[in-house]
This record gives sequence, structure tokens and C-alpha cells, in this order.
Amino acid sequence: MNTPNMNRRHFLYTALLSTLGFPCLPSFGKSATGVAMNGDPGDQDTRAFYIIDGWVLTGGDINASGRRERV
Amino acid sequence: MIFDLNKNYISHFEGSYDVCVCGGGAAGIVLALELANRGRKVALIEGGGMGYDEKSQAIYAGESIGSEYYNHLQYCRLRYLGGTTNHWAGRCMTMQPIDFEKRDYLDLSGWPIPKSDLDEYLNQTLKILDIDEKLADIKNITPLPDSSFITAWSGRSAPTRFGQKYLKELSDHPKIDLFLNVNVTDIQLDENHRHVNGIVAKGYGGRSLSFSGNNYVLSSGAIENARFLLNSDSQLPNGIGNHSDYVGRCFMEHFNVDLGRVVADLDNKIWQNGSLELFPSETLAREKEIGTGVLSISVGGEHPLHGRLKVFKEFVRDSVCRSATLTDLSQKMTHFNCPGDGVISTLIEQEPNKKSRITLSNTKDSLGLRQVQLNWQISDFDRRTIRTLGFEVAKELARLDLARVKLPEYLIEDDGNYLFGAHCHQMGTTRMAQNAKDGVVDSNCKVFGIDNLYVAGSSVFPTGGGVNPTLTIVQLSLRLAGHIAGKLSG
Repeated sequence: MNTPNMNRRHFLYTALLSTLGFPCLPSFGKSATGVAMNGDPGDQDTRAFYIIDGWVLTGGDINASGRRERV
Repeated sequence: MIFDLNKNYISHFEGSYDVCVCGGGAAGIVLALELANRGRKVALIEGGGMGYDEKSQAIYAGESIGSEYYNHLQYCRLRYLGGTTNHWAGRCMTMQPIDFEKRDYLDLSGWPIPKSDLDEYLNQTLKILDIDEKLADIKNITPLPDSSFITAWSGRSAPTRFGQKYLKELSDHPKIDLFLNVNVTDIQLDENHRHVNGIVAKGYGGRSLSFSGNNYVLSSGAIENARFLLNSDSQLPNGIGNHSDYVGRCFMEHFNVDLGRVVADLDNKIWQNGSLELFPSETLAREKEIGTGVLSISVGGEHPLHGRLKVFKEFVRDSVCRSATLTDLSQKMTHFNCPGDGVISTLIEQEPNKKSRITLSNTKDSLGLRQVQLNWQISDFDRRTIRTLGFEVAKELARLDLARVKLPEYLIEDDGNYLFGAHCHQMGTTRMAQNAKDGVVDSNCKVFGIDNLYVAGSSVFPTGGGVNPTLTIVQLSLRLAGHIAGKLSG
């Protein structure tokens, strides 16, 4: 798992909240990749945009996720 | 001189004027002062008094039968000297060149005058509105690289309360008679219906006054201007100026809709003022075939936490900020913001749509005039403009790595469940046009077919643009004053 911009504490919080079913917000410098934690980065088109849980993200924002919708 | 019909019994006054101006809001006050300063004798006739009064305000009551308009008919307009400037917020922007153009993809677009016709009045307008002229025009202050949006900057009026600021000047001016609590109720045309002979007005106690002048201007706001023309049906059954059935039609607002939440990168200096105003570029508007607007993005800074429980507080805040659900819940219970949290507020252009209109109901007000019935209609074009702007600004902020946007569900699903708010910017009901078949007034704001009746204010806007209307209203009033003064000189 690759978690850039995430320290151990943030990772734990995010994991806990995700487990409890709370959607996680992208937040600069903290959990910009928190929207999708299960996968490897680098397989997205960084010039394209995706919607995950309503958030409009770049390909570079996200890891692999089955829920993306390209916009 | 001031004549207040609630206080004085007016048995005699010099009832003949160069110009009778009906309505004492921003448009009427500017017009009256400008004409008087050019040596013309003016009657400024205001239906309200010096302050808020229920009896006067009740005249604005009406019925909304279209898209939800809340209680804006009666309470977002103010009916006393100064009009709605008594509670406006003061944001001013100049309309843009594209606003005046005929856009092939936007039905009924195109002003019969170019932007340059108004530009010459800009400096004077800024003084009237107490705006630092450096802030007046939309500027690309912080250009975004290769962007489909430009960074806009709006002028901020104090905001100027026209009634308060200009009362002394109005009352002291030797060329102005200011009438308060005097409600214009009828326009009397000559037998050919091509010339106004006079107007009839009433006080709240039923007393009547007659005014005669060389010229008459309606300046009572977009709803009342149309209402008044439609109510003046004693000689023309469809009302005055309604030769092409446009009086009351093309009612427009500026949409105030939710475009979602923002998480911004506060390290980027573009957020140093905590907000950003973005305009879609003309290229974007044309390419997507949408209207224009201003998208205002406000983000909060990180509030430092203190005390012995600082570590715990940070833990709680950080934890809450990980979750949209907990954040929403916290924000409902207390003033709570996560670092970089923000919202996008909007002011978006509505297309001129003939089905969006004001008509008269059968209910009459205390003066005996039929009340308005508003059928505010929102079109597929309007929905496309809103949705496209939402998606495009979200993508642009992400591309530039300035912020990430969470779009509201209604926008993503496009399921028709749009919740349209408004800005109380009523426009378009006596539209300006090149030809009589396409509108109510000509390029000089004169009612087609009547040689001495004019309309001032945002009711003449053929399209509403994507900016607050007051600055444009004042520019148009100055231009109209110049035209009428020139006509009187000729």
C-alpha cells in the first residue's frame, strides 16, 4: 500500500473511519489519497478526471478503485 | 422640496415637470439628480416613505406559481426611498462584452447597444456607488495557466444606501420635487395612444394627485415596471407597451445554487485572501454553449487550538475532518470548519425565456391595482449551464491542484432535483430590443410607439449576464438622463 502524504496517525484514523463506514475526504497534506487505499498508484491517466464519492479528482489523486467514473 | 402625502395635505403644487420619474430606487434617484443637474425640472415620485412601512411594503405582495421563489416577491424588494439598495450587499461588476452579443446558442440574446455605450459612464457610476475605481472592472488579476476560467475581482460598494446618501441633495435641489407615499396608479395616453398626457397617483388615504410632464420614466424595479404597464389597461386592454406581448415576459434572475464543497490547498498563495472569484472564459461559454456567471469559492483558514487539551482537541478535529458525515454533523451543532474547507457560491446567468413571466392576478392591493403573479420558469439551458459550470470548475481546480471539489448529488445524477435559489436580481420584464416586435423599449429605453414614456432599471436588460446588476442599472440611468436631457434641449 502506498500512502503518500499520510503519516501513521492519519493512516490509522482513516482506516478506522473507513472500517466504520465513513467516507473519507481528500485533504491536502493529510490524506489526499484517502479516497482509495486499496491498490497501487500510477495506473491512472493523470490528465483525466474521475468522480469518487462525489469528489472530482485527477488520475494522479487516486489509487486503483472499482468505483471511478471518468468525467 | 419634499412632499410627503402621509404628513401634508397637498392642495397645490407645481404639477408640470420636464420629467416625472416614478420610483425612487437607485435608477430613479440617479436619473432625477442627473436630469436636475442638467437644469431640468423633475418630479421624483416614490410610493414609500423614508423608512420601512408595512402598508407600503404590502403593495409588493403577489403570488408565485412557477419555480419556488420563496417570499422574494414581497420581502427581497424594499418599498421606500432608496428602494432595494436599502439592503443590498454592495457587490458590483461590469457586464462583459459577451453579455451584449447575440449568441447563436442563446435564444433572445443580444443587446441593441454595445458595452462601450455604458463604459463611458463607468467612472461616474463608481463615484455614485462609492467604489474605488481600481476595483471596478473584471480583471484577470491572478491569471491561471491555460485556464478556461479567469480570476474575477468585484468592486465593493459601501454598500451605498441611496435614500440616506442622496436625501439631502434631493430635498435641497431647486429643480427636484420629491414626493413620498405617492403611488402612481394610472398612465393617461392621448387619443392615438402615442403620447402620455399625464399620470395619476394616490396616497394611502385615498387622496389623488395628477402629474403632467414632457417625459415620464418608470423606475420601480423589474416586477413593478411590468405590473404598472399591465395595470394601465384603461385605454389599451393588454396594457401599455405590450404591442408585442413582451411586457412581463422573460423574467430573469441570477441562480444561487449549491455547487458543492471544497477542500483547498491553503499552502497555495492564491488562497491568501481566503476566497477566489472565477468567471468562465468566453471560450468556455461558447464551446459548451452555456451562460456565464461568477463562482465564488471561500475557504476557511486553520484555526489554532490552545490549552492543555490541545493534543486531544487536535485529535478530535482531525478525526472529525476525516469524515464527511462527522464533519456535517459537527457543522450542524457548532461553528466548525476543517482546514481548507470551503463552499462554492454562485451567481449564474438565466436565459431569457418567454414562458418565465409576470402576469396579473385578480387580487387587488389597497390602491386598487391588480397584484402580480410570477411564473418563474427554468429551462434545460439553465440546467446545462449550472451543471457544466459545476463540473468544469471542479476539474479546473483539480487540474491546477488548487482544490478538490465534492459535487452535490443532484448535479452528478442530473436527476432534475435542482434546488434553485435566487439573488433577488429581477430582470428582463420590459426588455430592450432593436425592433418593436422583439421587445418593449428601444435602445434609448423609450417604450416603442409612445414618444415620451421611458423605462429605467434592470427590467430593460435583454439578458442578465453573470454579474450583479446595480452597477449596470446606474450606468443605464446616466445614459438615459443624457438622452432625455438632449431631447429636451433639441
